[in-house]
Amino acid sequence: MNKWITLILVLLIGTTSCVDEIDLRPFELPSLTKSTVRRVEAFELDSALFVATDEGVMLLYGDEQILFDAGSYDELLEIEWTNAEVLYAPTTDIFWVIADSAFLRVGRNTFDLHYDRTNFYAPTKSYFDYALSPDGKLYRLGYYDEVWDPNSGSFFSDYMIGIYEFVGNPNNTWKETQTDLGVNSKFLADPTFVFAENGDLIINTNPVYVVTSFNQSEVVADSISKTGSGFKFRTSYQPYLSETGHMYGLFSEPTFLTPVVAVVDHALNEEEVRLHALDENCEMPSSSQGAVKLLDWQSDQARFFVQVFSSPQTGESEELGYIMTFDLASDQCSLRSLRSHPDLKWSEGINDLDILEDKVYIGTREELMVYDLNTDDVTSYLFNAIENLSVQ
Amino acid sequence: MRGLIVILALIPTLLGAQEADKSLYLLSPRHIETSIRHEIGVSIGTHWSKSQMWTTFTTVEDGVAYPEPVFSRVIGVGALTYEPRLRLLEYKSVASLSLDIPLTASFSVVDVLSGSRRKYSAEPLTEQEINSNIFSKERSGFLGLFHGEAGALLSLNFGQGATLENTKAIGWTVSAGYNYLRGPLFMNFFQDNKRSDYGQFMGWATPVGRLGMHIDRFVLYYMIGLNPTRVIYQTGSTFEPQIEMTRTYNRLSISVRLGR
Repeated sequence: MNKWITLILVLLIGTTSCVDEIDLRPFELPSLTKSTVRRVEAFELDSALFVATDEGVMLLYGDEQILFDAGSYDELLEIEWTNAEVLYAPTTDIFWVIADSAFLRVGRNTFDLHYDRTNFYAPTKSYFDYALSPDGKLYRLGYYDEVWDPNSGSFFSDYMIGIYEFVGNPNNTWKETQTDLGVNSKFLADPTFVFAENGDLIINTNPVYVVTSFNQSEVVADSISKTGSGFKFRTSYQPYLSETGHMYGLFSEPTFLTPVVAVVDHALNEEEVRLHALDENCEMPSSSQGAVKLLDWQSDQARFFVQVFSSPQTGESEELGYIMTFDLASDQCSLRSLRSHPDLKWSEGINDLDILEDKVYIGTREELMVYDLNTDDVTSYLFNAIENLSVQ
Repeated sequence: MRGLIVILALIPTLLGAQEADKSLYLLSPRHIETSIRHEIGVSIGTHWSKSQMWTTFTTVEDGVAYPEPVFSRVIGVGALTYEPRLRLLEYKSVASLSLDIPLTASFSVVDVLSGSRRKYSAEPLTEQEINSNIFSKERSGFLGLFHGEAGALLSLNFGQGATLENTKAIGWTVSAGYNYLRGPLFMNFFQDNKRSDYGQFMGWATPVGRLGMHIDRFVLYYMIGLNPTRVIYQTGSTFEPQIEMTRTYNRLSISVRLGR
């Protein structure tokens, strides 16, 4: 009988020791999301979200939330968020915000605001583009000189491209690499660029340059001229290098007043540049304002936000807008509506939005809201946070 | 659940070696009356349970949110149980494997509480309350009275009570399974608590284990939750980590066999 008693006791002690654990952590209340939201940028592949409001900045890394309250970081009040460029470096988990001469770096344990006072080559001051290298360094592109050959008999000159690495010292913002890569003034535009995964820097102008290595003493690059019907190609905006080898970009920089009309597409060879016109391939609802924001890319598929304007004056509309998915490989287009909700009746109040997984984060004049694409329900981010952020 | 798996895994070890000598008897539907045993049990003041964490009760102090676990709690004043026990397998007259179905009605106080014993209100928050940093509301009074339970336990029985033929003075039962609790059966009518508001907090199942000691026709049982959850949280007033054990079950009861 003793062996049975021992067995029973072992079983009881063994089974009752199976204790699960939940850790409820206090967290800073994201009350700054209850103010006018100026900017929402999601980085889908990395589950990272950047939100700028009139009361500060919130970063999301998955379920982890980092807050920079403007009460403590009053420098944030000086940044003009609406036209700022927001980049994210997944290798360092740092968000970069570039707004005119302000360079803000924010992350889990990082807050650094640097003002650029470099006296750049005057004609090119506004021609800069920014991109992050695979190791998370910020680079800037611009022209450092204009060269005209008096013996050429031409009115055209060559603008020479410089590559600038951000160093952010008080007296020295950039480390300059002058290249002998030029853009003829007849194609003069704002060159944009991206880094390929292998570190190649691809300059998106005509000709396209693939810079395989560069330092201050040597620059190694291939040049790819764009000919044929695409000869008019000069640049494209918000470029994206797809895994299929296509370089995509927008025909114009989209804003809430001037929507995107086409996507520029070229391979890194001498094939013609193609233009995918949105209105030829996508049946836009008659009430829509067009594609006003590029949300993300997945291989050859781009997603845009198509805005529908509604306000208390126009009356309630059933839709706030649409998520448009455009497959550039097949020119197939689909629309998914974002339905209005008692808590968000009019699109007029929407300042910015972006998608992260199955949620659309909508920045309104009053607060940050979350649109669940599975249920079409809209809730306040702050209230959602109370439900979701506490359990670790 | 893991306990149940362990017990099931032990069956071949305990009984399998004896199969060849025809000492193993399976339940026969034609003679079910010889394989069923009925018990009536009571417990007085020795019965309490907590559900799993349902949600959080959040208080805000100086811009920091402090979530506490919210769970249902029953404190049994007195409970009555009827339990049919069906012997599925018997080994000689020494041991048996049975399926036990304890059905309990309990006079108990049922509440939905937070870790710091605030009475959680399921009333929806208004926009104004959220804007005022109020994310959880309290109600007054307990939620209701009485609760019911239904369990399904697989038991190994040895000695007294294991089979009809066993004549040992003492027997043992060790069980594992699930117990479903539902309550309150009657809402606190002195308060304006609506049953529909609290539906999601009124029923839960918990894995349980049970040890029983049989003496003649009487059985002393102790049933315990097998897979509790330890919730660690802080409150704005203490700042020290607090611990709340949830998904717990405790009951000490005494039963008497009806009939043979």
